[in-house]
Amino acid sequence: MAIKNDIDPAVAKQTILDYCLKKGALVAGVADIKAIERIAPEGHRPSDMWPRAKSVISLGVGGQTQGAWHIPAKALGYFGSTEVRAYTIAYGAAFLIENKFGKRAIYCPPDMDTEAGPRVPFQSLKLHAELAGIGARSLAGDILLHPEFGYMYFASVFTELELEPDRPMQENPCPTTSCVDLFRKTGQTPCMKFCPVQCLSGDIDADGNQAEMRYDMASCAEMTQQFESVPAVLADAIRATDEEEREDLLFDAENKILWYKLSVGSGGLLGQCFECMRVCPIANQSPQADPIRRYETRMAAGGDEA
Amino acid sequence: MTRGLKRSQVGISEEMIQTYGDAIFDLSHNLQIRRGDPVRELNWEEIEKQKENAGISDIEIARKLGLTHDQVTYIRTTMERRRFNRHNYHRLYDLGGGKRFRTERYIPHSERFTFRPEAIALRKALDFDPRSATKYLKLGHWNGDTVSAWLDNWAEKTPDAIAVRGPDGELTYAEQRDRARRLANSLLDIGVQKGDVVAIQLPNLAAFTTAYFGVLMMGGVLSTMHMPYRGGEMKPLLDHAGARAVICAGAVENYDAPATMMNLRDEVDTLEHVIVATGDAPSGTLSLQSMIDDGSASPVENPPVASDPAILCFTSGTSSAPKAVVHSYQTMLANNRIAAPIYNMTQDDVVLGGPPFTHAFGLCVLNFTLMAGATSLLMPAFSPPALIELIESGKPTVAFLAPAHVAACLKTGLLDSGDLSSIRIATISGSACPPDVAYALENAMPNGAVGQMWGMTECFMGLHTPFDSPPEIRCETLGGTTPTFEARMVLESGELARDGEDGELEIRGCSVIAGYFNNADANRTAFTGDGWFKTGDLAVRDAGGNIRITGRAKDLINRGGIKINPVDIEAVIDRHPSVLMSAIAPIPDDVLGERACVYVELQPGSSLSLEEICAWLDKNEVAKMKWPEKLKIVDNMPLTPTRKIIKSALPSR
Repeated sequence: MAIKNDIDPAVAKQTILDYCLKKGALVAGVADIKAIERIAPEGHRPSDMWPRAKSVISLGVGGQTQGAWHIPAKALGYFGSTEVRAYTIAYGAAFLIENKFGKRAIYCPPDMDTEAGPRVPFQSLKLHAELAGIGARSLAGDILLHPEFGYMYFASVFTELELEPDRPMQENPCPTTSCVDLFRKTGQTPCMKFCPVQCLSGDIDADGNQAEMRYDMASCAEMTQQFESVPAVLADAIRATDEEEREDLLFDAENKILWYKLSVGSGGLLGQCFECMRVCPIANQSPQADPIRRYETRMAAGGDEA
Repeated sequence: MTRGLKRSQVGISEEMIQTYGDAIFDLSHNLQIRRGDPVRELNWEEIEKQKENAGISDIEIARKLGLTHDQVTYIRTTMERRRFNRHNYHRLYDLGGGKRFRTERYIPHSERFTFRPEAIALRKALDFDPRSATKYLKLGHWNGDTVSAWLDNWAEKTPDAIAVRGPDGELTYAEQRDRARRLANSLLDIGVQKGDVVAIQLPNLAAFTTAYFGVLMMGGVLSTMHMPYRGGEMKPLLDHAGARAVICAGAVENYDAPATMMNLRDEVDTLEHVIVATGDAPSGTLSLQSMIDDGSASPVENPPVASDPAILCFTSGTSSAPKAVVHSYQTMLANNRIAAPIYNMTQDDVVLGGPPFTHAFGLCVLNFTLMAGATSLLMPAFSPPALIELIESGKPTVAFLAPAHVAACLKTGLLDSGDLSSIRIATISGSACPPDVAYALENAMPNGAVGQMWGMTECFMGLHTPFDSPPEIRCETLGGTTPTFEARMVLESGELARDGEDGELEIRGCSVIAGYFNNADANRTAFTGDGWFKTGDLAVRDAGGNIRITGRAKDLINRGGIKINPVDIEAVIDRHPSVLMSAIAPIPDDVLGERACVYVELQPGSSLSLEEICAWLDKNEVAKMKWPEKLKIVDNMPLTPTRKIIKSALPSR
């Protein structure tokens, strides 16, 4: 791989962030990787995934449409799919970095750490975004909020390209005045009051700022992590005392959705493991399979860097 | 299991999970606490201080607790699994679309949607032949209608129209729905659940109608108890129904219903609540009015649907094996919808129902009235003067009466002297009607026409006379089958009877029940398995297709091999000036097997001998072989709520 050494970090940063915004991100920034290394739990630091990472780029895309907030909750649960837009942009940005600057980059997988189970992500995209200054922690279980764009989905890119980090946001938009008012009256903000499993609690100080945020993530998971139900349903079915109860468990409409999600509705869940392709000399060693080589080829032919 | 390693390979015991489980769970991401906003502020001192509160990784926990990384991951994921309540997800089903979660109002689905075993068992009575059910659904005979939906319809369209007018008050449709909703919610509040049976013993009062709508609105199944019944008669019925609550009237001079019901509550396992609808509610009972006053006016969350059981009526006796008829909304309301064109009722009609609401005929009339959005004119207790006065004051346009109602008014002379001019149609039903009684009513209504209807609790209305047919059809026959119904007469041999030939009436249609609840013996004898119900009535069809009931199969008297049908003979005897009403029933005979005995309730101050009866029959050209051979005078003829003589209850039978 040919490494370019004459890259202007400021220009590179602007190019990358402009790309993200042009492709649909509402906000983008660079997180201080040293800060991430200090804050992230061991095993989930950038260096744990890719020691060569020198910068972390974070971007956010819009969440639900206004209409979506008004539909039944069971359907709203599917609207997290807008996060795919963020991943697509991040993927593109990683390719852009390799293609344009000749530096390695990875689209940071938003997925869960397979060794640790489904509640532990490889990396905290939230921490990346917070340090990149594109969101601030809310009383709603640390969900990041932006004063202008509200609720967003985030994605990250790691690169060995050194970029100047941004600063976290100066102000935290949470809680708003109306939330403070409700808290003063009832001891709960709207997010606390209307949480179906009452997993949120906390305190607001005299100045109207967050004093404490308490988040019972295990309870929250009961609303969001239905995959936990799959083994539970199967275990209950095995233990069922009669055939009728067993059939109800396995063939109940709601439970059959679980089977559906495990099969045709699973999206990437049944994706390949990619090991066959990783070791395949054609798949990733073909002359133009590598985007950086594609860049070199284009440069050698006198092509435009754009 | 972690990384494919079993518990034993990781070095874990159940005791270790118990020992470290909570600590690991709390140190992990499962519980996160943050004070202030240290990360955004890059306050490193606070960040370091709060690290454990924010949730640390498995490897960090392992180091802190002196466990291996694998052990921590194993224990943490085990704890996550054990603590996971997958049913909490169901809370989402009530949210969104403008609805928000309220802790104080939330009741888990598992508690909101529960049927007791008795309720599930009751549904087994709705075991219809799938071919018939599919047919009725395809043809639209069965649809999604419920009584509550019909009430909602009129409460929205004509809220101020009078729904019911009775001695205990008048209710508009809006008031009726409001009261019913409040009662429904109160019933739910005291623990009555959808599918539970609520028994009722009330006369035709506005309170009955509110109870009817309220119980049905919350998905209860209303089981009617006839007014003359007392504890001994009701106990087996309440037991059989698995009744959860009973609604009764307050104590009166001759009957302390609340006390009776409270005693029954001690004897009937399922019975929990006694609700008193009129007068004072004694200690240990609930007041219907208070339940209405205190109940929520909100719509019931989980209302019944058309396939749910709606009513449970008992057709005969109080024996150890009662015949319990369970109608779903589909079988019950289909009959009203199908028969509606015959009566052509509108919101302007005032409907007088003679039969008690504790009888299927009474409920049928109530549903007819509701369907039309008309007014129910209530008669709590029958006497000839009460009926005629109610007609004159309430001016009903439609009347449903039993033959005995009309016959009694005829005998007292009130039928001719009363003003029946408001009535446009009067339907006689409940038992076989002597033609002279029907003609008398026809003649007493200057603006009205008589019609007849035949029905049973098991099927509601199955035969009827069209009102545009000639008087001889309407007064002397039951006409033809109700639309969509089929009728056939079957001989003892099993062959179909020809026109003019007596046979047992069998009927099939979308309102015929699937079978009696929890009475296999009765089901074997009464249902053919392909939808036909053996009514037990004897009938004959004439060449014009009109059907006439000629008696009851079980009432035939077998006199030395000759079958005597008592119906026509009774009709002749009933016309005797000294007779109020009569019934002929068999008495055992060593030689002939059975002989005919006539039971007579006399007109006040009259006397009568067997010889005089025979002379009367001779004069009316009744063959001698049909004459009764014994006479018994009774003080009070045992009657059903529709004033049909209960022959099985005649003395010394």
